[in-house]
Amino acid sequence: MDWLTICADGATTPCVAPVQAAYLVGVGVLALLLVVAGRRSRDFATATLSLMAVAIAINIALGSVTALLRLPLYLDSVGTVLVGALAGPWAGALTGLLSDLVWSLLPIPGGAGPTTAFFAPVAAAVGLIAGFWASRGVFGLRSGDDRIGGFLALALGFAAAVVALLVAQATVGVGPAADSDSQVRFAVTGLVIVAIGVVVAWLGRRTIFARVGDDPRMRLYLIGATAISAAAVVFAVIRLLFAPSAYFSTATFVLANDAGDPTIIDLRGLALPDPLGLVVALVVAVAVAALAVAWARRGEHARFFPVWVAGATTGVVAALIAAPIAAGVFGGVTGGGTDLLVALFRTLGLGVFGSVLAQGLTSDPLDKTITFTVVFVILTALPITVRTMFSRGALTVDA
Amino acid sequence: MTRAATGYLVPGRSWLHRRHPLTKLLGVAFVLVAAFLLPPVALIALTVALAAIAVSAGLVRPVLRSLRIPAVLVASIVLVNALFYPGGSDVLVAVGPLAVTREGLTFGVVSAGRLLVVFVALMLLLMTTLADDLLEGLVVHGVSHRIAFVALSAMQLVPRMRDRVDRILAAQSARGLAVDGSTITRARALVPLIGPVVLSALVDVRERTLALEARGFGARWGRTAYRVVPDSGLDRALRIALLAAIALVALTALFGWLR
Repeated sequence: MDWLTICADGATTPCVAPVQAAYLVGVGVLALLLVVAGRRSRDFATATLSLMAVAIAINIALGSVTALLRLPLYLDSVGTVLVGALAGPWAGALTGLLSDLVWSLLPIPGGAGPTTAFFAPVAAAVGLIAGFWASRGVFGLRSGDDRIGGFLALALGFAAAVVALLVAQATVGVGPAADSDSQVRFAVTGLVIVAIGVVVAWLGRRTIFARVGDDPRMRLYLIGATAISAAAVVFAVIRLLFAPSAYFSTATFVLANDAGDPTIIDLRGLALPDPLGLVVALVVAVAVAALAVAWARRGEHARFFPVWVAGATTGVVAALIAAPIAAGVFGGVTGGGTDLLVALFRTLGLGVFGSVLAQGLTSDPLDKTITFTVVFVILTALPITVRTMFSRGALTVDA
Repeated sequence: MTRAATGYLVPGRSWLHRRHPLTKLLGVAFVLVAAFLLPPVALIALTVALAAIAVSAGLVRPVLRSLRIPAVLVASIVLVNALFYPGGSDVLVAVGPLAVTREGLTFGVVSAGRLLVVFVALMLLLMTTLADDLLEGLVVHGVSHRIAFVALSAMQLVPRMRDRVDRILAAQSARGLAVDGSTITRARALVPLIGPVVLSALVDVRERTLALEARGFGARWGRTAYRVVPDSGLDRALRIALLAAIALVALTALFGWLR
């Protein structure tokens, strides 16, 4: 259990070594992935290759805008997910990989020289998972589809795991600490949380969501799930931004304009005191739920829900891969808008690794959910003559 | 209309410019491995070596100017770690609730130093190498020409994409889209901008595919290169030396951990 002490005890050199070892292993896996993707690239059609080039340009363009605006998001994988959906997981992985490597070679904000290149394994994983989800049909589901039940059950399990995590945080406390007792407890708590999620998802699939075919209740479930998840996300984001010890409670920005004179923006007044803040968050969440129901009832809007499930799960995996890189290579700070979140989690008492992981688990699922939604919208707007040029364009997308 | 994608290249004929791109790439790999695996003292040696290379190649001013790029990153690494380092107890300066700890400052400076050394090494590569030569050098040594095409073509597409954004912005504002004003107005202008940009780029994929196929891109045999990157015996010797050095550093670090 030694590797869990990553920099929790304040020692500088020895504590980072395991993370570096992990990164080396990651680089090895990356090299292997490159070789496999390179071999596979012989099978890629010319159309796929020229799509990948455009996708990389889209990644870099959108990612640099987000980096310039200093948002606590990335939005640099729209192209990667697009390729994963249209041309399969391997093409998606190669797109993610090359995006981050190419970005590092160009004088474009966000790249900052070699910064993004370190996160190439994360982008590759996002491409792989996007291809997997696309082949499971997330971009082509109608509300009467059999496979909807699986996504609803997965979302239920995900929600159960999040609730279990919050309960554990409130009672026994999570997060790796220096002494070995609490490390064992951390590992056990993590396993129990994952187990709860899996069991709830499995039970849900066997009972509530076991219906098949054109059961009208499926559509109701989808609408309900859309409303609940929208409300939960809005509530969480509001609490994260406006709660007494949250994002805005420490937010003072120094912006330098082209002339070079700095403007100081103090947003600390936005942190609301607690009873008022809680009420405001609840009211907004309920209002959002009502809006979500109204929106999801119209036409086929409810089919966005599986896309969100796919995006959120992709984000969790991305956060898990990115955290050791950010902690080991950058000491947890990457120069983007996400740094404010890292600083926030550190003031809440998490270590170098813990704060990066918490930041990733906050930013990434949201970021990838937005990305998947954008890709879904692009796919439905894409002319059919373009879409069917790619190996999976006709299968995975149902516009 | 379109700017050539030369990236950071500083034209010149120094000894570093004339090295084979692969040699320089291996040099960057060596600096990366050494900076992250050796103890922090090695950073000083690496800095001296990189400074000597920059001086001898006449690239001191461009390198110093390029340090602006990671300035924000380095500042936040040092600041966030100095102020919020978990487990830092040796307080150097305290201002109100914030305290700079010795452990945090050390960790921040070492992390930033590692990143800066790798950054300067990469900048030296990029300033003396055209991306075309780098990828051609890789293709000669066995990297698939199809992957090289994707990377190069993406690099050329980024400035073209910027031109396309400018063009669509002009077209949309001619139709009455408000693009100037408050942040909210500008954010709202993004939607009718991104849609056409992304979709027209994707529709162009078909044109490019047909053009590539018509020029025999899918053919398997008989490929000749338009650019020939010169390779010398000195380069080959340097590459072997660098590979040996990388292996040595990796093994030293590995045995350091095992002990």
